[in-house]
Amino acid sequence: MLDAFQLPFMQRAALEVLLLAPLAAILGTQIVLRRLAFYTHGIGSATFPGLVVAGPAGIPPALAALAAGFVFAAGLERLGRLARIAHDAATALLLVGALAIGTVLASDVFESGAGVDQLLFGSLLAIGDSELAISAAVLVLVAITAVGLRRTWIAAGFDSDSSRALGLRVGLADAALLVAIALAVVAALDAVGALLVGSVLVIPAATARLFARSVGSLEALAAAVALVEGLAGLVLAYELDVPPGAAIAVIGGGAFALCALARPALSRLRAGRPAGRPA
Amino acid sequence: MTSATPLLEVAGLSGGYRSGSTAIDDLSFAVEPGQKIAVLGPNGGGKTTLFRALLGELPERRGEIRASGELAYVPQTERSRLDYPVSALDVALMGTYSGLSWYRRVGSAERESAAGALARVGLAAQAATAFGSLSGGQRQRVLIARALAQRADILLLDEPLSGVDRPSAARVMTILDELRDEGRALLVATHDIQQAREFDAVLCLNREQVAFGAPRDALSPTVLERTYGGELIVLDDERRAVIVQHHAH
Repeated sequence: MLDAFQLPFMQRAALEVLLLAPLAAILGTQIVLRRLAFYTHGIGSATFPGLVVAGPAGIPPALAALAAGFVFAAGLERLGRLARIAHDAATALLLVGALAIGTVLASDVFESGAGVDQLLFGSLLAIGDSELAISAAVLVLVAITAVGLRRTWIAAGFDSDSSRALGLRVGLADAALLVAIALAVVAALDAVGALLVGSVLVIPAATARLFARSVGSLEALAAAVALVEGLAGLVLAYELDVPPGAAIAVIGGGAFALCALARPALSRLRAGRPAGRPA
Repeated sequence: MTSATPLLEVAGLSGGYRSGSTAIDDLSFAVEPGQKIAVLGPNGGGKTTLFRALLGELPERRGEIRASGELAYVPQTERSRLDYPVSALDVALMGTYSGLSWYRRVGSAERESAAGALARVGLAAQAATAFGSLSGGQRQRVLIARALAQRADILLLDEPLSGVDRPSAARVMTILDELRDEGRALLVATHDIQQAREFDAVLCLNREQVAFGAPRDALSPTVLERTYGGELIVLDDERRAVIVQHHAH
């Protein structure tokens, strides 16, 4: 099984997983704690029309995806403010709109339907040097941002109102978090596609959240889960010849379900109580 | 009352959340070191708005606020996330965050400060306990410890005894008395008129300032009726009053 990693494309894919795992830890933790999973999925979906347009228009895909993501975020802010609809409803509205526009552009305008699967579900096995460079650059940016703002993110997640009274710049930190998530989504696109960014940025942290008792342990566990699931998905994709993004998502979903089922028993064991006896 | 230099002076303070709106109107009072002041008023009477104005968070604000010390806000525990993976020490540490440069990690000095603040409120043994696992009274004390770690001279406490059982409330009040005796100034938003009689001064609000002064002078039936309007029933002996809360459902 490990022989597969002798191949250059598998080595690049493994390196991409290594670069995405810290992003899953730093931002996945905040996404899960701040309840931004749907926003993250929305940003991922919103990049789809940008990616469809990028090729025929000669725009770098990452730039087009980022622009589409920012348009989505700005639209979300305006919809919430002007139309006064709930945040999740606005997200759903824009998400559906982005997917619909992307599909129309792909099938009827640019006639580039052949690459739609890759845009939606990624291609970790086809990662090139430029994609690795983008992921590395995003990781450096996010890491620097987190050094400065992680404390504010934690305090704001605990109680946003009173964290302002602690003298923390919550508005700035929240805006930076949303931008950092958009950048991480763009970094993850080549690996898992527009529709499966949650398999990297949400599921590992959500799985880790089942067991973690502190923000630090949540981050460490989320990084480990993202790394293991990413590499396992890569191997599964290679061995069974299935799309790697989907393989990572299936492994992540299965691991979450197993952990969620096992958690009550583990909690009882930790508390020293036999199964079936009430607390 | 003492005649020391005020820690906090408010003159003609008005403001609201939108342009043209007035949630508080023409408030003027002064708070000296070592004073514990009850802020009384009905729901929507301006207690929280006053605190937001003092903290500089009210979008529309007129009038003067002069504070010669650090202000800290102690929210109701219900506003905090009980499912959040933080310990009592983690929450107390948040009080030290604003004093740290962006690139500096939390160090031993901050940990000692937070641990000391927790010990100050009698929770040294619960430092590692998850915040959500603590009782309501203990959570309130942790939030007070966070304000102490902030090195605050003036504490703004938003209904700290709300949802707290009697023994825990007594413990919180003892801690507030000790903080007052150390020279801090405390503004405590409360609904409890009987409890307010034990404070050094009372500020009665119903959007405007109804009264400010020593409880024996300020808490007259007339003032209470103006403060609470139809929500208040003054009992026969004119010393006791009952607030009838009207909640919108």
